[in-house]
Amino acid sequence: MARKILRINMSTLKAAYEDVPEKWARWAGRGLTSAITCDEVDPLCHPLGPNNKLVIAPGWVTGTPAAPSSGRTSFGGKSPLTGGIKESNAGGLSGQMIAKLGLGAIIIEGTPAKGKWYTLVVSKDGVKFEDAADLLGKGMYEVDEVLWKKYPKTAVIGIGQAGEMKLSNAGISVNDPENKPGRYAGRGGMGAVMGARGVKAMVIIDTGGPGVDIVDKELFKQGRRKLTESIQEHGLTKKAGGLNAFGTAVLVNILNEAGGLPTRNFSAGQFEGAAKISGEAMAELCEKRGGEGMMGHGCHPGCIIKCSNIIPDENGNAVASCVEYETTWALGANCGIDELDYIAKMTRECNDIGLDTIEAGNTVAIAMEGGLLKFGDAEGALATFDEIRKGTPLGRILGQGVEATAKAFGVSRVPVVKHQSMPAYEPRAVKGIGVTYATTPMGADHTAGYTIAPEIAGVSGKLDPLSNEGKAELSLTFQAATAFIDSTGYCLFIAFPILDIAKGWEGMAESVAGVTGQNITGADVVPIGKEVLKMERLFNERAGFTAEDDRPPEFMLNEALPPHNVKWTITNEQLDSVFAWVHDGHAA
Amino acid sequence: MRVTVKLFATLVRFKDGTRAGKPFEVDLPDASIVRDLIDHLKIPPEETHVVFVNNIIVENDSKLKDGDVVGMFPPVGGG
Ligand code: SF4
Repeated sequence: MARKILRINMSTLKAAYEDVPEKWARWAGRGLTSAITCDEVDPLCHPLGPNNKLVIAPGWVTGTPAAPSSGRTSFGGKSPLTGGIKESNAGGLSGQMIAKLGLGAIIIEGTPAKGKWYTLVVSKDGVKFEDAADLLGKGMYEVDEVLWKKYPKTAVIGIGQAGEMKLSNAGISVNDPENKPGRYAGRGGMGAVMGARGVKAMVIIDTGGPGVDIVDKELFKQGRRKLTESIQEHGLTKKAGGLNAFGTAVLVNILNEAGGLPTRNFSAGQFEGAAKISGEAMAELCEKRGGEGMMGHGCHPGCIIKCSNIIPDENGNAVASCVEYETTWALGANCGIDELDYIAKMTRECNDIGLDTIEAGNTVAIAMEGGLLKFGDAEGALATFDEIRKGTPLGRILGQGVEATAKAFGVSRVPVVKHQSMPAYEPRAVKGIGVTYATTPMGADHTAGYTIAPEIAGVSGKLDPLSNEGKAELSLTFQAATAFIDSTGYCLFIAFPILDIAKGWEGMAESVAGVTGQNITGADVVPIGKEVLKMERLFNERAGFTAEDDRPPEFMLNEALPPHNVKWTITNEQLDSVFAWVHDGHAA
Repeated sequence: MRVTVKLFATLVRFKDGTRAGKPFEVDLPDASIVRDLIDHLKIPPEETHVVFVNNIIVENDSKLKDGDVVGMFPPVGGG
């Protein structure tokens, strides 16, 4: 059965299935959320107003049997944080279930009567609009638990208090196999977009769904095998390899060694407490405390990399899953905090209230710089989350993220691009990632073009992180490949093996070709990714973005970053060259 | 010459009693290169993926000098 679009109108409380129109038929995942956003959302609309939409789409191969690590769900629309287009994707249970229901995308539009909130129960029989009054004011741990009592073993998508308050740092939670929140479409405030539609939660029930059509089963199987082998062979993604044994936080020490670990609100590139908040330290902690603690946790069924973790307290009880690299950095090094137990507690707060941990950690760091509390004050940092949960005036400022907080506290070292704060790689010490932060249509985002692979990790060759040379081209290639991978439904971490092992790259493309029947080979990955980027860049232009929005923050040009004592030196002309082709009249 | 060494992630198993990032000192003949240090530590060469000397990524044939701080990593990555 061909994929359908499920359109849910919150004004009329009616839902309808539509055929996928020809113009969207090629797309899935990020490509589809961006195509629909471009076609249906006015770029000048208020992100929280009646004309924005929340678009949800699984990837091309999501929901197919045994495609490895492919359960991602893309969430798209206009971002309240950046004011531009946004795609934020998450693992967890939702992607595979939406795909198995035969849905290419769910579009949520319209606004219910004032004060009304709903839980949308999506099954093969359509959509039930349940009054969500009893869930209001509740955090995601409780929401997941309550909804599983009624609908066990389902995917639960939801927002915490932050999304209800429509704060710009509100994320969308997806439950993991243990029914805990923590798999977040965190970036860009998409939780506020869901809140603006009056949707507190969604339950996805895939029972009896038609499943995902596979046009060419042999080609799909061949691609899947090649990709699986490459993941199992690569030192980073194989069983007991770096990601499986230590999680993404295995990066803490290497970025610190490279002088590129942003510390105390981007004022230094090395943190003396780095080893204490690293993936190695987490593995030691799990080993020592046992109980529910574990490394090598999978965020959804079918992941064969399993980079997630469950961090336990002293008694072995789970505190939070997952403390990722970005999280331990944002709430740790960037705030001068070196205590893993506090980082885990703050992660739990973010997962419960529904906040992006990157923006949240950066916001605490700004508040520290602004004098609200001191760098290194773990107890004080933890207490700020309660302000957000309660919606106090201070909490509402902090919940808006870095820029609003910097204004409230008179801070001028503001590490943002397009109003979104930077992740855990210092652009002055790792130049290519700075090009990605500056130019991606998403606002400062590392996943959008992960040049860290060659610049730090030695994946797909080795490039000097401190050098400017070739970084514009490098970033564009990575941004395009990423836009493709984000459309497949595969986890972005397959990029490491497929960049190093040619059959993995081919296999990824062949698996997509097998499912969709489109004639896609490895050579098409970058050109197709560029088509997605072009749509997104044009949306942003219509939303009012200009070349001046593709710039790193001013302080990075003026302040030298220790230990290398380097400034941002890539020219504006180099930055402008990244997307010059968008107006050449052809995509690739 | 004497260099300071830090091992990370899966490489810690090649040095008894060390932890990730805990520095220890190694004496090497003058004019040693990174590969000599790797051999000295009895680490199979394919296990070290990225090596830093004084916070700069280097190749295995880079020369070492007295007082250098060397950090060694297996394949690492994430996001
Ligand atoms: S590698 Fe990690 S983030 Fe990716 S799908 Fe697996 S557990 Fe989730």
